[in-house]
Amino acid sequence: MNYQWNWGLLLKEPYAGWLLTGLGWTVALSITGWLIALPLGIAIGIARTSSSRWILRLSGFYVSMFRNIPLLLQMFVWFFVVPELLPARLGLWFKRDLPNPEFWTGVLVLAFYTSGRLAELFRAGLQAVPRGQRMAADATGMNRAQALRYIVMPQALRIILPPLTSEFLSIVKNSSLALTIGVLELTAQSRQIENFTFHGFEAFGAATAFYVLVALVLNLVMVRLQRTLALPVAV
Amino acid sequence: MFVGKISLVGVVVAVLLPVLARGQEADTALTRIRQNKAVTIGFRESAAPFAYLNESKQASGYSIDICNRIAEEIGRKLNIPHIETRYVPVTPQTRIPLIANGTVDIECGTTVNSLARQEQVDFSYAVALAGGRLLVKKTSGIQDLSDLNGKIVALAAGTTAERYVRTALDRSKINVRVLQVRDNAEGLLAVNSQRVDAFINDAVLLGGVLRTAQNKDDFAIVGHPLSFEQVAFMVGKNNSGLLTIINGTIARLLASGELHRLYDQWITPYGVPIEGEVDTLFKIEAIAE
Repeated sequence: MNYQWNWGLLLKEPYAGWLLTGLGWTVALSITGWLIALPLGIAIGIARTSSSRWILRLSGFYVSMFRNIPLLLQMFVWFFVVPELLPARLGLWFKRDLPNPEFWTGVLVLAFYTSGRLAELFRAGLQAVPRGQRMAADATGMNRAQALRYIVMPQALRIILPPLTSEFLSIVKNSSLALTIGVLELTAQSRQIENFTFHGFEAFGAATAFYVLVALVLNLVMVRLQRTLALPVAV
Repeated sequence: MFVGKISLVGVVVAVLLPVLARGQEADTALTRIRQNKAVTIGFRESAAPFAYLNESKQASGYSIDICNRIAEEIGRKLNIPHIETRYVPVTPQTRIPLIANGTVDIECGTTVNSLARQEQVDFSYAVALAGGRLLVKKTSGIQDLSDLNGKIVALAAGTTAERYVRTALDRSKINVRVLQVRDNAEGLLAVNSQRVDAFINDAVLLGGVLRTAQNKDDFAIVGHPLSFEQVAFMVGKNNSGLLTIINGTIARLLASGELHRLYDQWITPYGVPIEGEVDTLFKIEAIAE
Protein backbone atom coordinates (compact mmCIF):
# COMPACT_ATOMS: atom_id res chain seq x y z
CA MET A 1 0.00 0.00 0.00
CA ASN A 2 1.29 3.42 -0.97
CA TYR A 3 0.67 5.26 2.31
CA GLN A 4 3.01 7.39 4.39
CA TRP A 5 2.35 6.65 8.05
CA ASN A 6 2.89 9.46 10.52
CA TRP A 7 1.46 8.76 13.95
CA GLY A 8 3.49 11.59 15.49
CA LEU A 9 1.19 14.00 13.68
CA LEU A 10 -1.56 13.29 16.20
CA LEU A 11 0.51 14.73 19.02
CA LYS A 12 1.12 17.97 17.15
CA GLU A 13 -0.95 21.11 17.42
CA PRO A 14 -3.56 21.86 16.25
CA TYR A 15 -4.47 18.23 15.58
CA ALA A 16 -4.06 16.97 19.15
CA GLY A 17 -6.27 19.82 20.33
CA TRP A 18 -8.91 19.03 17.71
CA LEU A 19 -9.07 15.41 18.83
CA LEU A 20 -9.40 16.38 22.49
CA THR A 21 -12.14 18.97 21.88
CA GLY A 22 -13.84 16.35 19.73
CA LEU A 23 -13.67 13.88 22.59
CA GLY A 24 -15.07 16.60 24.86
CA TRP A 25 -18.08 17.16 22.60
CA THR A 26 -18.68 13.41 22.29
CA VAL A 27 -18.70 13.03 26.07
CA ALA A 28 -20.87 16.15 26.51
CA LEU A 29 -23.39 14.93 23.90
CA SER A 30 -23.58 11.47 25.43
CA ILE A 31 -23.86 12.50 29.06
CA THR A 32 -26.32 15.36 28.49
CA GLY A 33 -28.38 13.13 26.23
CA TRP A 34 -28.31 10.37 28.80
CA LEU A 35 -29.35 12.67 31.66
CA ILE A 36 -32.43 13.69 29.68
CA ALA A 37 -33.15 10.20 28.32
CA LEU A 38 -33.05 8.41 31.66
CA PRO A 39 -35.94 10.20 33.47
CA LEU A 40 -37.92 10.33 30.23
CA GLY A 41 -37.34 6.63 29.67
CA ILE A 42 -38.37 5.78 33.24
CA ALA A 43 -41.56 7.83 32.97
CA ILE A 44 -42.55 6.33 29.61
CA GLY A 45 -41.53 2.87 30.80
CA ILE A 46 -43.86 3.17 33.80
CA ALA A 47 -46.59 4.44 31.49
CA ARG A 48 -46.07 1.33 29.36
CA THR A 49 -47.13 -0.80 32.34
CA SER A 50 -50.16 1.35 33.10
CA SER A 51 -53.62 -0.18 33.30
CA SER A 52 -55.19 2.77 31.45
CA ARG A 53 -55.67 1.96 27.78
CA TRP A 54 -55.08 5.55 26.68
CA ILE A 55 -51.81 5.91 28.51
CA LEU A 56 -50.74 2.56 27.10
CA ARG A 57 -51.54 3.67 23.55
CA LEU A 58 -49.86 7.06 23.89
CA SER A 59 -46.70 5.65 25.41
CA GLY A 60 -46.67 2.86 22.85
CA PHE A 61 -46.89 5.46 20.09
CA TYR A 62 -44.00 7.40 21.64
CA VAL A 63 -41.83 4.31 21.79
CA SER A 64 -42.52 3.18 18.24
CA MET A 65 -41.98 6.71 16.90
CA PHE A 66 -38.60 7.28 18.43
CA ARG A 67 -37.31 3.74 18.46
CA ASN A 68 -38.21 2.75 14.92
CA ILE A 69 -37.22 5.78 12.88
CA PRO A 70 -33.52 5.71 11.96
CA LEU A 71 -31.51 8.04 14.15
CA LEU A 72 -29.92 9.75 11.14
CA LEU A 73 -33.35 10.61 9.78
CA GLN A 74 -34.42 11.97 13.18
CA MET A 75 -31.31 14.19 13.18
CA PHE A 76 -32.26 15.62 9.79
CA VAL A 77 -35.92 16.10 10.68
CA TRP A 78 -35.18 17.95 13.93
CA PHE A 79 -32.41 20.03 12.42
CA PHE A 80 -33.80 20.89 8.99
CA VAL A 81 -37.56 20.41 9.09
CA VAL A 82 -38.81 21.19 12.60
CA PRO A 83 -37.45 24.80 12.75
CA GLU A 84 -39.24 25.53 9.46
CA LEU A 85 -42.56 24.26 10.83
CA LEU A 86 -42.37 26.47 13.92
CA PRO A 87 -43.62 30.07 13.87
CA ALA A 88 -41.00 32.13 12.00
CA ARG A 89 -39.49 33.90 15.00
CA LEU A 90 -39.28 30.78 17.15
CA GLY A 91 -37.76 28.88 14.21
CA LEU A 92 -35.12 31.58 13.74
CA TRP A 93 -34.35 31.45 17.46
CA PHE A 94 -33.80 27.70 17.18
CA LYS A 95 -31.56 28.13 14.17
CA ARG A 96 -29.53 31.13 15.26
CA ASP A 97 -29.92 32.56 18.76
CA LEU A 98 -29.98 29.40 20.82
CA PRO A 99 -26.38 28.93 22.04
CA ASN A 100 -24.84 26.01 20.14
CA PRO A 101 -27.98 25.07 18.17
CA GLU A 102 -26.27 22.06 16.56
CA PHE A 103 -25.23 20.67 19.93
CA TRP A 104 -28.62 21.07 21.57
CA THR A 105 -30.46 19.67 18.58
CA GLY A 106 -28.10 16.70 18.67
CA VAL A 107 -28.64 16.23 22.41
CA LEU A 108 -32.40 16.39 22.01
CA VAL A 109 -32.46 13.84 19.19
CA LEU A 110 -30.16 11.47 21.06
CA ALA A 111 -32.24 11.86 24.22
CA PHE A 112 -35.56 11.15 22.50
CA TYR A 113 -34.20 8.20 20.55
CA THR A 114 -32.53 6.70 23.61
CA SER A 115 -35.54 7.34 25.83
CA GLY A 116 -37.67 5.27 23.45
CA ARG A 117 -35.28 2.37 23.83
CA LEU A 118 -34.94 2.86 27.59
CA ALA A 119 -38.72 2.90 28.00
CA GLU A 120 -38.97 -0.61 26.57
CA LEU A 121 -36.11 -1.67 28.81
CA PHE A 122 -37.84 -0.31 31.91
CA ARG A 123 -41.16 -1.85 30.90
CA ALA A 124 -39.47 -5.26 30.56
CA GLY A 125 -37.69 -4.75 33.89
CA LEU A 126 -40.87 -3.78 35.72
CA GLN A 127 -42.71 -6.75 34.27
CA ALA A 128 -39.87 -9.09 35.17
CA VAL A 129 -40.36 -8.46 38.90
CA PRO A 130 -42.45 -11.39 40.17
CA ARG A 131 -46.13 -10.51 40.65
CA GLY A 132 -45.99 -11.74 44.22
CA GLN A 133 -43.86 -8.72 45.13
CA ARG A 134 -46.59 -6.32 44.09
CA MET A 135 -49.22 -8.37 45.92
CA ALA A 136 -47.10 -8.42 49.07
CA ALA A 137 -46.78 -4.61 48.85
CA ASP A 138 -50.56 -4.39 48.51
CA ALA A 139 -50.98 -6.60 51.52
CA THR A 140 -48.80 -4.36 53.68
CA GLY A 141 -51.09 -1.45 52.83
CA MET A 142 -48.90 0.39 50.34
CA ASN A 143 -50.62 2.29 47.56
CA ARG A 144 -49.55 1.75 43.94
CA ALA A 145 -47.03 4.59 43.88
CA GLN A 146 -45.40 3.39 47.08
CA ALA A 147 -45.27 -0.19 45.80
CA LEU A 148 -43.57 1.03 42.65
CA ARG A 149 -41.15 3.30 44.48
CA TYR A 150 -40.13 0.99 47.35
CA ILE A 151 -40.72 -2.55 46.09
CA VAL A 152 -40.89 -2.96 42.33
CA MET A 153 -38.58 -0.25 40.92
CA PRO A 154 -35.53 -1.09 43.08
CA GLN A 155 -35.72 -4.69 41.91
CA ALA A 156 -36.44 -3.79 38.28
CA LEU A 157 -33.46 -1.42 38.20
CA ARG A 158 -31.14 -4.17 39.34
CA ILE A 159 -32.50 -6.56 36.73
CA ILE A 160 -31.96 -4.16 33.84
CA LEU A 161 -28.60 -2.78 34.93
CA PRO A 162 -26.56 -4.93 32.46
CA PRO A 163 -28.63 -3.97 29.36
CA LEU A 164 -28.68 -0.39 30.67
CA THR A 165 -24.90 -0.43 30.37
CA SER A 166 -25.08 -1.35 26.71
CA GLU A 167 -27.63 1.43 26.12
CA PHE A 168 -25.17 3.85 27.70
CA LEU A 169 -22.45 2.57 25.36
CA SER A 170 -24.89 2.93 22.44
CA ILE A 171 -25.54 6.59 23.10
CA VAL A 172 -21.79 7.27 22.98
CA LYS A 173 -21.52 5.57 19.61
CA ASN A 174 -24.73 7.13 18.31
CA SER A 175 -23.45 10.58 19.22
CA SER A 176 -21.15 10.37 16.20
CA LEU A 177 -24.19 10.90 13.95
CA ALA A 178 -24.36 14.46 15.28
CA LEU A 179 -21.54 15.24 12.87
CA THR A 180 -24.13 15.27 10.09
CA ILE A 181 -25.73 18.36 11.60
CA GLY A 182 -22.41 20.09 12.19
CA VAL A 183 -21.39 19.14 15.73
CA LEU A 184 -17.60 18.82 15.66
CA GLU A 185 -17.40 15.74 17.87
CA LEU A 186 -14.72 13.07 17.79
CA THR A 187 -15.53 11.53 14.40
CA ALA A 188 -16.00 14.94 12.77
CA GLN A 189 -12.67 16.14 14.14
CA SER A 190 -10.84 13.11 12.80
CA ARG A 191 -12.43 13.76 9.42
CA GLN A 192 -11.19 17.31 9.66
CA ILE A 193 -7.66 16.10 10.41
CA GLU A 194 -7.81 13.70 7.48
CA ASN A 195 -8.93 16.53 5.25
CA PHE A 196 -6.12 18.86 6.26
CA THR A 197 -3.28 16.35 6.36
CA PHE A 198 -4.51 13.37 4.31
CA HIS A 199 -3.48 11.15 7.23
CA GLY A 200 -6.93 9.67 7.71
CA PHE A 201 -5.91 6.25 8.95
CA GLU A 202 -4.02 7.76 11.88
CA ALA A 203 -6.83 10.21 12.67
CA PHE A 204 -9.54 7.55 12.60
CA GLY A 205 -7.25 5.17 14.48
CA ALA A 206 -6.99 7.73 17.26
CA ALA A 207 -10.76 8.25 17.27
CA THR A 208 -11.24 4.48 17.52
CA ALA A 209 -8.87 4.32 20.47
CA PHE A 210 -10.75 7.13 22.21
CA TYR A 211 -14.11 5.39 21.68
CA VAL A 212 -12.68 2.16 23.07
CA LEU A 213 -11.29 4.07 26.03
CA VAL A 214 -14.65 5.72 26.78
CA ALA A 215 -16.39 2.36 26.47
CA LEU A 216 -13.94 0.65 28.82
CA VAL A 217 -14.26 3.39 31.43
CA LEU A 218 -18.07 3.28 31.23
CA ASN A 219 -18.01 -0.47 31.48
CA LEU A 220 -15.81 -0.30 34.54
CA VAL A 221 -18.08 2.25 36.24
CA MET A 222 -21.20 0.21 35.51
CA VAL A 223 -19.64 -3.04 36.76
CA ARG A 224 -18.67 -1.28 40.00
CA LEU A 225 -22.20 0.08 40.30
CA GLN A 226 -23.63 -3.37 39.72
CA ARG A 227 -21.45 -4.81 42.50
CA THR A 228 -22.35 -2.02 44.90
CA LEU A 229 -26.07 -2.40 44.27
CA ALA A 230 -26.12 -6.20 44.36
CA LEU A 231 -28.48 -7.54 46.99
CA PRO A 232 -27.36 -10.24 49.41
CA VAL A 233 -30.21 -12.36 48.07
CA ALA A 234 -30.59 -12.70 44.31
CA VAL A 235 -33.91 -11.51 42.90
CA MET B 1 -9.11 -6.29 33.52
CA PHE B 2 -9.00 -2.71 32.26
CA VAL B 3 -5.22 -2.69 31.87
CA GLY B 4 -5.40 -6.14 30.35
CA LYS B 5 -7.78 -5.04 27.60
CA ILE B 6 -5.73 -1.94 26.80
CA SER B 7 -2.52 -3.91 26.46
CA LEU B 8 -4.26 -6.48 24.29
CA VAL B 9 -5.36 -3.73 21.88
CA GLY B 10 -1.80 -2.39 21.96
CA VAL B 11 -0.35 -5.77 21.02
CA VAL B 12 -2.77 -6.19 18.11
CA VAL B 13 -1.94 -2.73 16.76
CA ALA B 14 1.80 -3.31 17.18
CA VAL B 15 1.59 -6.57 15.24
CA LEU B 16 -0.49 -5.12 12.40
CA LEU B 17 1.41 -1.89 11.81
CA PRO B 18 4.65 -3.21 10.30
CA VAL B 19 2.58 -5.36 7.95
CA LEU B 20 0.73 -2.29 6.73
CA ALA B 21 3.81 -0.11 6.41
CA ARG B 22 5.94 -2.04 3.94
CA GLY B 23 8.57 -0.45 1.74
CA GLN B 24 7.46 1.25 -1.46
CA GLU B 25 8.43 0.67 -5.06
CA ALA B 26 8.64 3.50 -7.55
CA ASP B 27 6.00 4.18 -10.19
CA THR B 28 3.56 1.50 -9.10
CA ALA B 29 0.76 3.33 -10.91
CA LEU B 30 2.48 3.16 -14.32
CA THR B 31 3.24 -0.54 -13.80
CA ARG B 32 -0.42 -1.09 -12.97
CA ILE B 33 -1.59 0.88 -16.00
CA ARG B 34 0.73 -1.14 -18.26
CA GLN B 35 -0.59 -4.43 -16.84
CA ASN B 36 -4.29 -3.53 -17.02
CA LYS B 37 -4.04 -1.51 -20.24
CA ALA B 38 -6.31 0.92 -18.44
CA VAL B 39 -6.06 4.20 -16.54
CA THR B 40 -8.33 4.51 -13.51
CA ILE B 41 -9.50 8.03 -12.84
CA GLY B 42 -11.03 8.96 -9.51
CA PHE B 43 -13.65 11.66 -9.92
CA ARG B 44 -16.10 13.62 -7.78
CA GLU B 45 -19.76 13.06 -8.55
CA SER B 46 -21.04 16.46 -7.52
CA ALA B 47 -18.31 19.04 -7.92
CA ALA B 48 -19.56 20.82 -11.03
CA PRO B 49 -18.04 22.25 -13.17
CA PHE B 50 -14.80 20.42 -12.31
CA ALA B 51 -16.14 16.89 -12.10
CA TYR B 52 -19.70 15.62 -11.87
CA LEU B 53 -22.14 13.07 -13.24
CA ASN B 54 -24.01 14.58 -16.16
CA GLU B 55 -27.59 13.82 -17.20
CA SER B 56 -26.57 10.54 -18.83
CA LYS B 57 -24.67 9.54 -15.65
CA GLN B 58 -21.28 9.95 -17.31
CA ALA B 59 -18.31 11.53 -15.57
CA SER B 60 -17.85 14.96 -17.09
CA GLY B 61 -16.43 18.37 -16.34
CA TYR B 62 -13.28 20.42 -16.73
CA SER B 63 -11.01 18.07 -14.75
CA ILE B 64 -12.43 15.02 -16.52
CA ASP B 65 -11.78 16.52 -19.98
CA ILE B 66 -8.17 17.21 -19.06
CA CYS B 67 -7.69 13.78 -17.52
CA ASN B 68 -9.08 12.07 -20.64
CA ARG B 69 -6.35 13.80 -22.63
CA ILE B 70 -3.81 12.72 -20.02
CA ALA B 71 -5.00 9.12 -20.35
CA GLU B 72 -4.54 9.26 -24.14
CA GLU B 73 -1.05 10.62 -23.63
CA ILE B 74 -0.22 7.81 -21.19
CA GLY B 75 -1.39 5.33 -23.85
CA ARG B 76 0.94 6.90 -26.40
CA LYS B 77 3.91 6.97 -24.01
CA LEU B 78 3.43 3.34 -22.94
CA ASN B 79 2.61 2.17 -26.49
CA ILE B 80 -0.84 0.91 -25.51
CA PRO B 81 -3.22 1.52 -28.42
CA HIS B 82 -6.88 2.02 -27.39
CA ILE B 83 -6.05 2.49 -23.71
CA GLU B 84 -9.15 2.08 -21.57
CA THR B 85 -10.25 4.82 -19.17
CA ARG B 86 -12.12 3.69 -16.08
CA TYR B 87 -13.91 6.09 -13.76
CA VAL B 88 -14.22 5.48 -10.05
CA PRO B 89 -16.30 7.89 -7.95
CA VAL B 90 -14.47 9.26 -4.92
CA THR B 91 -15.47 11.48 -2.01
CA PRO B 92 -13.25 13.62 0.21
CA GLN B 93 -13.26 10.68 2.65
CA THR B 94 -12.34 7.95 0.17
CA ARG B 95 -9.89 9.66 -2.16
CA ILE B 96 -6.77 8.97 -0.08
CA PRO B 97 -7.48 5.30 0.77
CA LEU B 98 -8.35 4.61 -2.89
CA ILE B 99 -5.09 6.14 -4.09
CA ALA B 100 -3.12 4.42 -1.32
CA ASN B 101 -4.43 0.96 -2.17
CA GLY B 102 -4.01 1.47 -5.91
CA THR B 103 -7.68 1.50 -6.94
CA VAL B 104 -7.29 4.98 -8.38
CA ASP B 105 -4.30 6.08 -10.50
CA ILE B 106 -5.14 9.77 -10.85
CA GLU B 107 -7.66 11.78 -8.85
CA CYS B 108 -9.34 14.37 -11.06
CA GLY B 109 -11.61 16.58 -9.05
CA THR B 110 -11.28 19.82 -7.18
CA THR B 111 -8.55 18.84 -4.74
CA VAL B 112 -6.51 21.73 -3.42
CA ASN B 113 -2.73 21.44 -3.13
CA SER B 114 -1.16 22.04 0.29
CA LEU B 115 2.20 21.29 1.91
CA ALA B 116 0.61 19.15 4.62
CA ARG B 117 -1.17 17.10 1.96
CA GLN B 118 2.05 16.73 -0.04
CA GLU B 119 3.45 14.57 2.73
CA GLN B 120 0.87 11.96 1.71
CA VAL B 121 0.43 12.41 -2.09
CA ASP B 122 1.93 14.30 -5.02
CA PHE B 123 0.12 16.98 -6.98
CA SER B 124 0.24 17.89 -10.66
CA TYR B 125 0.55 21.41 -12.01
CA ALA B 126 -2.43 23.54 -11.08
CA VAL B 127 -5.30 23.60 -13.56
CA ALA B 128 -7.30 26.30 -11.79
CA LEU B 129 -7.13 28.63 -8.81
CA ALA B 130 -9.55 28.45 -5.93
CA GLY B 131 -10.55 31.66 -4.24
CA GLY B 132 -12.93 31.64 -1.31
CA ARG B 133 -15.83 34.08 -1.56
CA LEU B 134 -19.14 34.64 0.22
CA LEU B 135 -22.52 33.35 -0.88
CA VAL B 136 -25.13 35.61 0.74
CA LYS B 137 -28.73 36.63 0.38
CA LYS B 138 -29.01 39.91 -1.51
CA THR B 139 -31.28 41.32 1.18
CA SER B 140 -28.62 40.78 3.86
CA GLY B 141 -26.55 43.72 2.61
CA ILE B 142 -23.31 41.82 3.27
CA GLN B 143 -20.62 42.95 0.84
CA ASP B 144 -17.39 41.60 2.27
CA LEU B 145 -15.80 39.79 5.18
CA SER B 146 -15.81 42.96 7.28
CA ASP B 147 -19.64 42.92 7.32
CA LEU B 148 -19.67 39.57 9.06
CA ASN B 149 -18.91 40.64 12.64
CA GLY B 150 -21.29 38.86 15.03
CA LYS B 151 -22.79 36.83 12.19
CA ILE B 152 -22.90 33.11 11.44
CA VAL B 153 -21.05 31.56 8.51
CA ALA B 154 -21.20 28.08 7.01
CA LEU B 155 -18.10 26.22 5.84
CA ALA B 156 -18.22 22.94 3.93
CA ALA B 157 -16.66 19.85 5.46
CA GLY B 158 -13.87 18.43 3.34
CA THR B 159 -12.62 21.81 2.19
CA THR B 160 -9.66 23.85 3.31
CA ALA B 161 -11.92 26.85 3.92
CA GLU B 162 -11.67 26.52 7.70
CA ARG B 163 -7.99 27.45 7.61
CA TYR B 164 -8.12 30.54 5.39
CA VAL B 165 -11.35 31.82 6.86
CA ARG B 166 -9.96 31.59 10.41
CA THR B 167 -6.78 33.38 9.30
CA ALA B 168 -8.72 36.14 7.59
CA LEU B 169 -11.06 36.55 10.56
CA ASP B 170 -8.22 36.72 13.07
CA ARG B 171 -6.36 39.22 10.93
CA SER B 172 -9.29 41.59 10.75
CA LYS B 173 -10.42 40.89 14.35
CA ILE B 174 -13.87 39.76 13.27
CA ASN B 175 -15.93 37.51 15.47
CA VAL B 176 -18.23 34.98 13.81
CA ARG B 177 -19.81 31.67 14.68
CA VAL B 178 -19.00 28.83 12.29
CA LEU B 179 -21.37 26.05 11.28
CA GLN B 180 -19.93 23.10 9.41
CA VAL B 181 -22.17 21.83 6.61
CA ARG B 182 -21.71 18.61 4.72
CA ASP B 183 -21.57 19.91 1.17
CA ASN B 184 -22.31 22.85 -1.10
CA ALA B 185 -25.99 22.04 -1.45
CA GLU B 186 -26.39 22.13 2.33
CA GLY B 187 -24.44 25.38 2.47
CA LEU B 188 -26.92 26.94 0.07
CA LEU B 189 -29.81 25.57 2.13
CA ALA B 190 -28.31 27.05 5.29
CA VAL B 191 -28.14 30.51 3.70
CA ASN B 192 -31.60 30.16 2.20
CA SER B 193 -33.18 29.16 5.51
CA GLN B 194 -31.38 32.00 7.34
CA ARG B 195 -29.55 29.54 9.54
CA VAL B 196 -26.35 31.29 8.50
CA ASP B 197 -25.63 34.69 6.97
CA ALA B 198 -22.95 33.58 4.54
CA PHE B 199 -21.55 30.41 3.06
CA ILE B 200 -17.85 30.60 2.25
CA ASN B 201 -16.28 28.37 -0.38
CA ASP B 202 -14.42 28.52 -3.68
CA ALA B 203 -16.17 30.99 -6.01
CA VAL B 204 -16.47 28.52 -8.89
CA LEU B 205 -18.08 25.87 -6.69
CA LEU B 206 -20.43 28.51 -5.24
CA GLY B 207 -21.41 29.43 -8.80
CA GLY B 208 -21.97 25.74 -9.48
CA VAL B 209 -24.32 25.20 -6.55
CA LEU B 210 -26.13 28.49 -7.15
CA ARG B 211 -27.18 27.19 -10.58
CA THR B 212 -29.16 24.49 -8.82
CA ALA B 213 -31.12 26.98 -6.70
CA GLN B 214 -34.72 27.70 -7.64
CA ASN B 215 -34.57 31.28 -6.40
CA LYS B 216 -31.08 32.08 -7.68
CA ASP B 217 -31.86 35.77 -8.05
CA ASP B 218 -32.14 36.08 -4.27
CA PHE B 219 -28.45 35.28 -3.81
CA ALA B 220 -25.19 36.98 -4.60
CA ILE B 221 -21.55 35.90 -4.51
CA VAL B 222 -19.63 38.78 -2.95
CA GLY B 223 -16.34 39.80 -1.38
CA HIS B 224 -12.66 39.86 -2.22
CA PRO B 225 -11.15 36.38 -2.69
CA LEU B 226 -10.13 35.15 0.77
CA SER B 227 -7.69 32.55 -0.44
CA PHE B 228 -5.30 31.70 -3.22
CA GLU B 229 -5.16 27.96 -3.64
CA GLN B 230 -4.17 25.65 -6.46
CA VAL B 231 -6.61 23.06 -7.78
CA ALA B 232 -4.59 20.11 -9.03
CA PHE B 233 -4.71 16.40 -9.78
CA MET B 234 -3.43 13.91 -7.26
CA VAL B 235 -1.29 10.77 -7.59
CA GLY B 236 0.25 8.48 -5.00
CA LYS B 237 3.78 9.16 -3.70
CA ASN B 238 6.74 7.83 -5.68
CA ASN B 239 5.06 8.07 -9.08
CA SER B 240 7.38 10.56 -10.77
CA GLY B 241 7.04 8.82 -14.16
CA LEU B 242 3.27 9.22 -14.14
CA LEU B 243 3.54 12.76 -12.80
CA THR B 244 5.93 13.70 -15.63
CA ILE B 245 3.38 12.56 -18.21
CA ILE B 246 0.54 14.42 -16.43
CA ASN B 247 2.48 17.66 -16.11
CA GLY B 248 3.79 17.36 -19.66
CA THR B 249 0.25 16.99 -20.96
CA ILE B 250 -0.93 20.03 -19.01
CA ALA B 251 2.02 22.11 -20.28
CA ARG B 252 1.38 21.10 -23.89
CA LEU B 253 -2.37 21.73 -23.61
CA LEU B 254 -1.52 25.19 -22.29
CA ALA B 255 1.05 25.88 -25.02
CA SER B 256 -1.43 24.89 -27.73
CA GLY B 257 -4.25 26.92 -26.21
CA GLU B 258 -6.39 23.79 -25.81
CA LEU B 259 -6.56 24.15 -22.03
CA HIS B 260 -7.69 27.78 -22.38
CA ARG B 261 -10.52 26.55 -24.59
CA LEU B 262 -11.57 23.94 -22.02
CA TYR B 263 -11.34 26.52 -19.22
CA ASP B 264 -13.50 28.97 -21.16
CA GLN B 265 -16.00 26.22 -21.87
CA TRP B 266 -16.31 24.97 -18.28
CA ILE B 267 -15.07 27.50 -15.74
CA THR B 268 -15.47 30.98 -17.24
CA PRO B 269 -19.30 30.85 -17.18
CA TYR B 270 -19.01 30.57 -13.37
CA GLY B 271 -17.57 34.04 -13.13
CA VAL B 272 -13.83 33.31 -12.90
CA PRO B 273 -12.40 34.06 -16.38
CA ILE B 274 -8.77 33.68 -17.56
CA GLU B 275 -7.41 37.00 -16.33
CA GLY B 276 -5.07 38.26 -13.68
CA GLU B 277 -3.63 35.44 -11.63
CA VAL B 278 -5.18 32.62 -13.66
CA ASP B 279 -3.67 34.11 -16.83
CA THR B 280 -0.25 34.36 -15.17
CA LEU B 281 -0.50 30.79 -13.87
CA PHE B 282 -1.28 29.47 -17.34
CA LYS B 283 1.64 31.38 -18.88
CA ILE B 284 4.07 30.08 -16.26
CA GLU B 285 2.96 26.47 -16.60
CA ALA B 286 3.14 26.39 -20.41
CA ILE B 287 6.68 25.02 -20.23
CA ALA B 288 8.48 24.76 -23.58
CA GLU B 289 9.34 21.40 -25.18
